[in-house]
Amino acid sequence: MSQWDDYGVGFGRIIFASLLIALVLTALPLPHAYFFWLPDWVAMLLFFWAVNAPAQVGIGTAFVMGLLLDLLINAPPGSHSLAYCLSVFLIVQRQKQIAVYGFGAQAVIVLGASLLVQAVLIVVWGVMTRDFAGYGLLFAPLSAALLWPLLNRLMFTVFSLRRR
Amino acid sequence: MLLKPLFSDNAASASSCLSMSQDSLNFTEKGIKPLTKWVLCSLLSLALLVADERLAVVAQARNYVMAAVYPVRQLLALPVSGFEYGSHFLTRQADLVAQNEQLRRENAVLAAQAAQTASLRQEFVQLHQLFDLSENLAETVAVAQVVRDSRHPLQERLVIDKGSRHGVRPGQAATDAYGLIGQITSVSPFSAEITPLKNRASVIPVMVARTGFRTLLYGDTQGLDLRYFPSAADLQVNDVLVTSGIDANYTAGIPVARVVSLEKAGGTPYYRVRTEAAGNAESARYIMIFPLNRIQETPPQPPAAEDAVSFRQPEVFTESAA
Repeated sequence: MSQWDDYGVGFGRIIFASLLIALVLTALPLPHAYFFWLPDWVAMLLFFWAVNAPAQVGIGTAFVMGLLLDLLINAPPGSHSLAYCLSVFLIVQRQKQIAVYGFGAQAVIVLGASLLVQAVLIVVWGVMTRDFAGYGLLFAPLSAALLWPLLNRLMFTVFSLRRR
Repeated sequence: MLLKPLFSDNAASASSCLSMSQDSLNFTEKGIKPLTKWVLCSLLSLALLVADERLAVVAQARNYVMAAVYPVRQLLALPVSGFEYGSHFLTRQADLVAQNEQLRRENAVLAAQAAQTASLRQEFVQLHQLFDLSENLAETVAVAQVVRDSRHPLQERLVIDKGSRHGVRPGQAATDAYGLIGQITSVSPFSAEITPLKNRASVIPVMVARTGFRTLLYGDTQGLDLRYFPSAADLQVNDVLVTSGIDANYTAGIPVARVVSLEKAGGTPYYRVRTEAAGNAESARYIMIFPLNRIQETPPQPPAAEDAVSFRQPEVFTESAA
C-alpha cells in the first residue's frame, strides 16, 4: 500500500464518491429513445480504477457495482455484475500493460471492454426475453471510448487539486 | 501505484517508475487470484439470474428490495421530470393557445359522449340487476403518474407511483387516454411496473369491435401482430380491436389497436394485417389502471361462446352457469 501514501487517506473516499456519482448518472431514468448513446458511466469508472488503482478496485467491486445498478434500474439481478466482472477481469489481467499505454490505445481497449459489456447484456437479455435488444446499444461503447481521455483528464485534475 | 507514472511529465520517468514500483517486486500475491475471483463472481451472478427467474422466493425478495430502493429511484427521477417540467416553459404561447383550443373542442365532444354513456350505463346496470348478475363494467381504479422509463430497450418498463397499497395488482391492464399500453407485472407497496405490450411475451385476447369476432393479438418489438385472422371472416381497414374480456386480466372493451392495412395472402387461410397500437407507452404521462377481470373468480369457460355476436354473452353464460 506504500505507493498510495502520498495520496493520503482520502483516496478511498475519492474512489467511493466517483463510483457513487457514476452509479447515479447511469441509473438516471432518461428515456432510451433519445439517450441510447450515453456511455455506461459505472463501467467507465470501473475500468479507470481497475487500470489506475488495481489494489483498490477489481472484480469484487465490479460485482458489487453491477448488482447495485441492477437493483437501481430493476434489471434482472446479476446481469450487469456478470458483464462488468468479465470486462474488469480481462483488464486486470493486462493491467500493467494498459496502464502505460497512451489515451488513444487505452480508448481502444475501453471500446472493446464496453462492447463486451453490451454483448454480455444482449446475450443475457436475449436468453431471458427471446428478443434482440437492437443495434442502438452499440453506440454507448463508442461514446465511452471517445470520452475516455476526457474522463482521465478530469480524474487527474481532481487528484492534482487534492495534492496541492 | 500507476497513477504516479501517469502524473509525471515524460514517458521515460513513467517507465522507470513502473519498473521500480514496489508492486512489481512483490512476488507473493496476497488474497484470491483474479481468475478465481472472476469465476466466483460470475457463478454468483448466474445463480442470481437463474434464481430470480425460477424461484418465487427470490422474486418476492426482490420486490421488497425494490420497495426499499423506491425512494432512491424517485429521487433519481426528479431531475429528469424537472427537466421535462422546465421544457414546458419553453413552449411557445401560440402552441399553447392552439393546444388549449383543441383540448376544449375534444372536451366538448367527450362530455357529450360521457352524458350519453352515463344513461347507457345506468340502463346496463339495471339490466344486470334484473338478471341478478354482478356489475362487470370497467371502472377506473387509479390514475397513476409515470415515474420513469427504463434505460434498456428490452426492459422498457414504466414505473408508476401507485402500488399494492393503492389496490394495484399484478396482471391488471394499464391504459393511457387512448387505449391499452401494457400490463402491471410487478408490484411493491408504493410503486408498480408496467411492461408495455410491445414484447414477445404478450398475447392479448381481442375482438373486432364492429363484428364481435374474437381472436388473439401477438406482441412484438415492432408492434402488435394480428397473426391468425381467417380470411373467411369479415375485417376492414380502420376496424378497431378491443379487449374481448374472455381472459382473467383485461376487462372487455379497452381499445388495443386499429387495422391499418390488410390483404388476402395467397397460400394461407389468414389475412396479412398491419395494425397500429391505440395507446402509446412511449409518450404516456398519465396512466389508468383497470381492475382485474371478474371471470377469474368463475370456473373455466366452456368454449361454446366463440362466435357469439354480443360481447356480453359469454360472461352472462358463465356466471349463470356458476
